[in-house]
Amino acid sequence: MKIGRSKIVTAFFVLLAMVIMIAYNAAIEIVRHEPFVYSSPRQKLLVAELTGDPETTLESAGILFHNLARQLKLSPSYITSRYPDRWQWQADAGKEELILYHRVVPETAMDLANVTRDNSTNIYFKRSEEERIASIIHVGRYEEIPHSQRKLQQFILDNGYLIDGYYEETRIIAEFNESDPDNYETVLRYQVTRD
Amino acid sequence: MRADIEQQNSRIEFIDIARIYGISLMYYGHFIESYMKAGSAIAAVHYKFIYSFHMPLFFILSGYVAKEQLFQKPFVSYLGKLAVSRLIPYLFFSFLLIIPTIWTTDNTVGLDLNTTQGYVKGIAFTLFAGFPFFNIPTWFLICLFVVELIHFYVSPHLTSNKRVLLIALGFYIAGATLAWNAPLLNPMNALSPHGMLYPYFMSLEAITAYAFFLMGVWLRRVKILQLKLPAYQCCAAALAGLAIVYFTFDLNKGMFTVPNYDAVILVASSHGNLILFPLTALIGSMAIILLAKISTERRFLVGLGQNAIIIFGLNGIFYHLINDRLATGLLALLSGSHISILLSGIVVTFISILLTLPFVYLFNRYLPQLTGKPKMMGPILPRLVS
Repeated sequence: MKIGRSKIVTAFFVLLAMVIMIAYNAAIEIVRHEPFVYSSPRQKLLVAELTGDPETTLESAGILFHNLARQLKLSPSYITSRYPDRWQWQADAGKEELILYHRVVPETAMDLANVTRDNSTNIYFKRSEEERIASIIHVGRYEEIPHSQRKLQQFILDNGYLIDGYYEETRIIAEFNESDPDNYETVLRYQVTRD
Repeated sequence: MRADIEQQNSRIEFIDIARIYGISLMYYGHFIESYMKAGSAIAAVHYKFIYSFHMPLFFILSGYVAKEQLFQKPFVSYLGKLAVSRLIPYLFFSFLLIIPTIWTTDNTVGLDLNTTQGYVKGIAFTLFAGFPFFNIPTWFLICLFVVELIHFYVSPHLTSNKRVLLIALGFYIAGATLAWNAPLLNPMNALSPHGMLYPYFMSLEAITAYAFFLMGVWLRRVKILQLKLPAYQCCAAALAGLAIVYFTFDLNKGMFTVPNYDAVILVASSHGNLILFPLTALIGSMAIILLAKISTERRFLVGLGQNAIIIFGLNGIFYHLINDRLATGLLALLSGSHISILLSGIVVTFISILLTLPFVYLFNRYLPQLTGKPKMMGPILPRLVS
């Protein structure tokens, strides 16, 4: 059986493309859980300030944002917990602290005046500026977050950055979509500047 | 016979004009997007209006001029012709925009071009994932390539007009379902810093886009657009269509896959409401086609439409390098009202398209084969297909 030259050439290029893709993805898989620095774009955020035990306020924030999304007709998005007063993860439940919960919204989201809500909660829109962010994806239980946090802090120091601003967490894979806590994925971020 | 030829020519002309209208909307939409990113909520409304129909329009127009009886041709020769007319311009315009990154690296979405890894990622995704990091607007060429491949296999089954509509509906439902339930196929994954390299080739969106393509096939078959209507009737119908879009486009809310863009974005398979999206897309596209029907005497517009791929591909220069800076500067000077956003958007669109004309001349003169005219001979390259 004769195989045409064009078929051999096509097969060669398909094979080459597959090899490149496999090699690229293998390299990405290795660095996927390593820290990195990037510039976050300017965007409009819906912010809710809640004070209390972080585990309790996160649940309240989830319900609050769900209701706000229904009233403002917002598309689904992750909620991020921003801790303005600390840079370390804390396990001591019951401690009262201020947390800024936020999510991205489109520029067209404007009217908070007609939203029904508990008046004791401060809710507002905010435009974030372009910021340098150091980030890491923590895989596993929440109690193990300090380990990833230290790794990120060391990376920031080693690469000539300074923590300057906030610390925040976004739960990407969590109780709501995964039963095994060892598979949870939490994005940890520090706002940084060049040293 | 003569009448048939005249009708054929007229059909091609209004399609060409509709193309250039669509491209003008794309230039306008991309500039307005920069206003929106700079914080203008009014620009976000303009953006949402344009995006509710302007990209489906291109697929409808492509379907309108698509050939039938494709199954009579060998697949390899069909694939070859598609590759030279779609993939080569895609590669040409993508790699053309690598040149400016030598001087400026700050406007390429999702890439850190201060590092070698940034270039490796950009080039790898352009070649193997069909995601044009360096010239995002050219995603349409990749998507159209896949749509036309689908058409090769589906066209034998388009045995009646009713079947065309039913198959279009089937593709639309499949595309809409996958858009929500198959995030792994979404090329937006590429934008993440650790995005995996998969052969996306816009195949997720091509399923929905093919539904619009078939609407173009159906429109040609039922010959509605070949009717000779008085200009005032076309104009009234177009304005009525745009009015319907105006009153319905903002009802499509809360179901987008990109949470910070409250608008239809085909590149991200973000369509919103299952019924409102095709409603505004079809009515808005028909309005533009009707406006094109009454402009066939404008030879300049026909000429621009015949060079649609070049003007389309060059939009990346404005999208990546100019719009954001210009919009930020202009927004600081203007009042930010609807009228100032609209007028400044129109002026910038007009000037941007005007600036592409020397390149249209140069590419047609020296490199027509790389810019969508593979059958032409040029001084540098031979014709790519006979």
